[in-house]
Amino acid sequence: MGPSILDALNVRVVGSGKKFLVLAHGLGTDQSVWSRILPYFRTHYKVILFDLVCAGSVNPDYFDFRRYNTLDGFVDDLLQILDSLRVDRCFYVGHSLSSMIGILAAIRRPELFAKLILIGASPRFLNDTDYHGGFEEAEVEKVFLAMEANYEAWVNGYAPLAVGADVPAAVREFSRTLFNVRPDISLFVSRTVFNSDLREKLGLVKVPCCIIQTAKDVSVPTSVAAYLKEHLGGRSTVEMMNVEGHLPHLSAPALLAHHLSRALSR
Amino acid sequence: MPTPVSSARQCLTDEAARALDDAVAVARRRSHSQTTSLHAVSALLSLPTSTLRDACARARSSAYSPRLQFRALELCVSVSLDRLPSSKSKTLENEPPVSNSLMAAIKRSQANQRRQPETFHFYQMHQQIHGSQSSLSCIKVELKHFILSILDDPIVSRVFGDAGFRSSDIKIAILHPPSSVSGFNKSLKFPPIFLCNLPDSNLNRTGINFPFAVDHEQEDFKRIGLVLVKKTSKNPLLIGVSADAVVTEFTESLKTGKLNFLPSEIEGLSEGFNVIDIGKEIREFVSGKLSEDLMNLKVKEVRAKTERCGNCGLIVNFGELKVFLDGGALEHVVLQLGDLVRDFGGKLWLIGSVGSYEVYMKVLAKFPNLEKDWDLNLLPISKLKSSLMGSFVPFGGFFAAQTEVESSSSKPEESVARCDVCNAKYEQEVAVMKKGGKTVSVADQQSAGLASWLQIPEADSTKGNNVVEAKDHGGVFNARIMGLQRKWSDICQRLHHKLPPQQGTSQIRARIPFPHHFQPDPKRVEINGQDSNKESRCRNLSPPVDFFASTSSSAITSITTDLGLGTVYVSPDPDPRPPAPKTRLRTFDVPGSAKIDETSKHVSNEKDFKQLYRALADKVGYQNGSIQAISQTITRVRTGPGRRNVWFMFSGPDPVGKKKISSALAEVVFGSPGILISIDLNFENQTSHPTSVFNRQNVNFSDPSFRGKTAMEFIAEQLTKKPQSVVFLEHIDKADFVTKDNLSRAIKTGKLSDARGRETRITDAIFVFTTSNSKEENEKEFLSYSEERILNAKALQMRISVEKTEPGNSSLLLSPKDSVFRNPEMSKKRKIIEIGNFEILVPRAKKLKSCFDLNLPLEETEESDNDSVSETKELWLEDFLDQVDEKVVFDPFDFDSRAETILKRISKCFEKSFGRNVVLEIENEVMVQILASDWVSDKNGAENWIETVLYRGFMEVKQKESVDNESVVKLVVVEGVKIEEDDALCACLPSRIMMK
Repeated sequence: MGPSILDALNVRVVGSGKKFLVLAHGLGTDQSVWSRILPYFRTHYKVILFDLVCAGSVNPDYFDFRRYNTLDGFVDDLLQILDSLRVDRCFYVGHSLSSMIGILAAIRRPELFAKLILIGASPRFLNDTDYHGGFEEAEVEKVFLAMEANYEAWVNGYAPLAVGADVPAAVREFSRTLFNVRPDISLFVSRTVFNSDLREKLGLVKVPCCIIQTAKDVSVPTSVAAYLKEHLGGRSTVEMMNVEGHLPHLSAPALLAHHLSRALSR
Repeated sequence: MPTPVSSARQCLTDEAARALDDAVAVARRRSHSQTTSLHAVSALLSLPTSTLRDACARARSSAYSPRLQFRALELCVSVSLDRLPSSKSKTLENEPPVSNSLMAAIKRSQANQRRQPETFHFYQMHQQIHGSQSSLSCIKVELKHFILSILDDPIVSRVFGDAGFRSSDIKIAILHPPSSVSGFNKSLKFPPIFLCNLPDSNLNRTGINFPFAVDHEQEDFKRIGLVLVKKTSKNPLLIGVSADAVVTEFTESLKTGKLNFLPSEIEGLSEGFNVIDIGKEIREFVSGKLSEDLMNLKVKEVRAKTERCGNCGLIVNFGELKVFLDGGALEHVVLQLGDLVRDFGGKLWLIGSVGSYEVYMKVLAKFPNLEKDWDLNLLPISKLKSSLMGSFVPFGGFFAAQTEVESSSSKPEESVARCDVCNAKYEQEVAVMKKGGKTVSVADQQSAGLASWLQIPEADSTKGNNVVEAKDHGGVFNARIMGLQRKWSDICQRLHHKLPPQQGTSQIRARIPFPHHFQPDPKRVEINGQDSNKESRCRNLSPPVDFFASTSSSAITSITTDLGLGTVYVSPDPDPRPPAPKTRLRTFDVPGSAKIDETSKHVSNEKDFKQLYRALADKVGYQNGSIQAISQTITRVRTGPGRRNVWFMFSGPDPVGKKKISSALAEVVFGSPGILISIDLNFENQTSHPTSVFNRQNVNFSDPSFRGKTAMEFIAEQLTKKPQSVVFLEHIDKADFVTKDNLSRAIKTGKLSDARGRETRITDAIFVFTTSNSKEENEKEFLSYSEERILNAKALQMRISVEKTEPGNSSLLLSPKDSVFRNPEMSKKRKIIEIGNFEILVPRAKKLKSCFDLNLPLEETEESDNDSVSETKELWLEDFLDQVDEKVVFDPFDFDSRAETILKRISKCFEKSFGRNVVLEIENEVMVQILASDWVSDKNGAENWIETVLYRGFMEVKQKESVDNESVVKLVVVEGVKIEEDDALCACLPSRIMMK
């Protein structure tokens, strides 16, 4: 990779606090998704913002289809960023895909993470015997087909579903970032996500976790939050948000900020 | 053929000529052969304080940062300039001549300026005096018009378009200067938007595009129709100055069989409507022309007609209600009509009109039962006679059909419509002012088709027709009118709590130009002009010009004055269609020495703090000390100079009282309890318990209306809609950092800003903050219900049962003094208090141990900087407290004395139903719930509940169950059964008590 990872992934550190707070966005968004949350924390933390390599704001040339075949590639990126910034301990807020990355990173380098806050997290999206992940394999294949056939149409259909159609501004914002992602990358990462299964590894997490779950999330059924709490190895709590949508940072920023600050102070 | 610069300069005012010079300089620098509009734009933009730049700044879309967009604009302009061919010959010394397109723009602006109503007369007159047709040439174009015309140039608008501006937006921004800049233009709130600078000028060029005149009529009819289909109070009484006309039109259209505006229910029923007009008869009867017998005959006729018609409706138009004030012996008529209504409900309707609410009140004073007997439904009418609109058709382009939605937020002081009573008073005053004048309005030229209230009083019309109103005279007059308008708006806002439907809308002023066919009488003009000129000189900051002295045209400089001829009120449409429809047009005509009317008797609430105090205290009923402080502050701030927004901090206990006072404030100061924006900023309270008594009213963060917004954005949005609101923010000390920061800035600047940097001005709102109640326990001897305990009350169903078991440990016992039932065990554990014939056995208060919530993990020890965070919080709060207008400390609510009163009531009811032998056991939760309800609800709510619901419950139990001396009647809550929201009698108490 030519330029440093900090440049490539648009890493920014903002805020005047002492402690580090990593805000990691999920699939289909980029760091701008945190813009409404950021003001709440920039005075108390040094907030680290970055884009995942699959984000639309990152040069698609950096996306190495072999390297990011599993989530480990993303985990490497995260750890590399933290090391480059000489972060020795941080709070990590991860949404969706990034919550999985956070879990894996915390297993590998537990001393680095003071706490994981997982928004809309799921160890496995596909249903299994005794596990309800929310998706059947056939369903997912259909979604992939739809993404392949007409990405734009899929985005326009999925965005209001994920965010909640009652917040048009947030839907627009999500559609924008989602549409910025190159369709093949989006599809590829989606496959990676749906193929990964972290259930076996949850027990290895010793870092305290807080799972923030909205009342209605198209991607993650609420039972998953309970599953996570039960199976995560460290001390973990669940915060239920009484709002709908997979992206509370867009649809209910104030409320999420409250939940985050409560989770962080515990 | 390009025009030499010098001749182009002659057409411009100094300011505009300077702009042209700059443009020429730009062209020369780039050695272009001609000076074009683009050069002018470039020159205008390069000045740091140019009008154009300023307008662009205000017109720019918020999507981009201003710096970026200006950069883009500059780039676009320079690129376009680069594309222009440079002149081959080196003519550095010579000024590049003005291009045809730029010259055309100058010509256009000359024409515009001449056509403009502000100066129209001046040029008209000028033309008259000089008799020359070439008046165009002598007009000096102002910079503003110059810019406007340049923006019309297609090349220019393309350049602006490339940079992301819409030139129409910029034009509007130029036409609407920010108030701070235009000290001189103060009275000119909405300059007319005329032909050329209307964004969609096609619409107006046709000149007949006033569809809303017709629409509006339909709208009124529909409203009448909706009243007609009602079950009760179905007889419309139209109220408003033009109500009479609407009634006539309505009945006319019914007679001609137009029914499409009626709801289908009526339409289906009827084989057509019959309309009987008895207004004339009543009038004649009142004036004595019609004998009583004939009047009775008429009523009988109506009766007979109704009986005859099988399947059709009959509408009786009783005309203007005002006549009922004058004559005697009308009681009989009222009674007869009342009988008709009663006998033929569903077949017969009354319809009528009344000019103002005041008249109606007088009529009601005379006939107190009128409203009920006639089954009347008041229907405020505010509409414009369409004929008036018609008369302006030739000026379609002048008419400000273009109204700005934003007007209410940008000029909120304008945005209050008055209610009818105040409108009527206001009109009276205007009329008084008019009579003082010497001249007559031009409006009578066109008043033939106007409604009566628009027509000029007869006395005035004798004084001469067609007299020009000198223009600055008009300015003086206009200022007075504006003063009156403001005064009455103010009075109305505070005096009349019940505003008619047009409340909260934008009131939009537009200037209506004089008609063409208007012929000035020069002689007359001169007289008026002279005496008014003196006045105008001191008032108008424009150069004093005696433009009637017909000496030379060289003296003519540009003059912008305000002709203040008319006002258009736009009231909201019930539909969310674009603003415009309901308009009411007034014409103010002749200036004169205004008499200062005695209006001091209408002191508004906020002017007099005692009045305010009484109104508030009446609504709330306690916390009088706080109310006094609050009313004093409101009076002090809102009647003082400058701002009208008030900031309060309510601290101390009694959150319910704080809220009650705030909603009373909304009602008393702004006239509606509905404009209380209430948010609890304590995030911990957001997770509400569905059964709790207290979590019902607040807007919750998880509320749908909150989706995608922060608390401040929500408030800003609400305030944009309703600038006059009480914003009630609870637990300010628990608010998050961003909200606090925003509030501190708001209190300093008077503006709310959101994450995207948009700002909302707080103009006329009252902000109330509360801090968390202090945890001081108010231990009294008696029942010691702490606020905390009451705040945890739940709204649950209750049940009465008769049992012989031991009473629960924590419940209250009401035991008759002479009852046999005495358990020494029990009395040991309880205090005994005597109330009337009963003893109340109260469980001894136990100190509640602080209990740990096991669901919450303990604080992590590594969080060491929590202290510093809370410290900054404290500091912030102190700082914030210093900024508010008043800190009000509330007294604790006296639950114990309320509990005593309530127990007294209960014991009375109990004694009435069960006599003196039986013991009543009241579960603690029940008592808490009753107290909570008493706290939340208005006066005597809980007492009424005891006397009706509880008493009924007691009686039912007594009938069904055998009660002997041994048994205990128990009043308990049913855990988990939430009572319904629509519970009628008292908040959070069941409307029916269950039995076993």
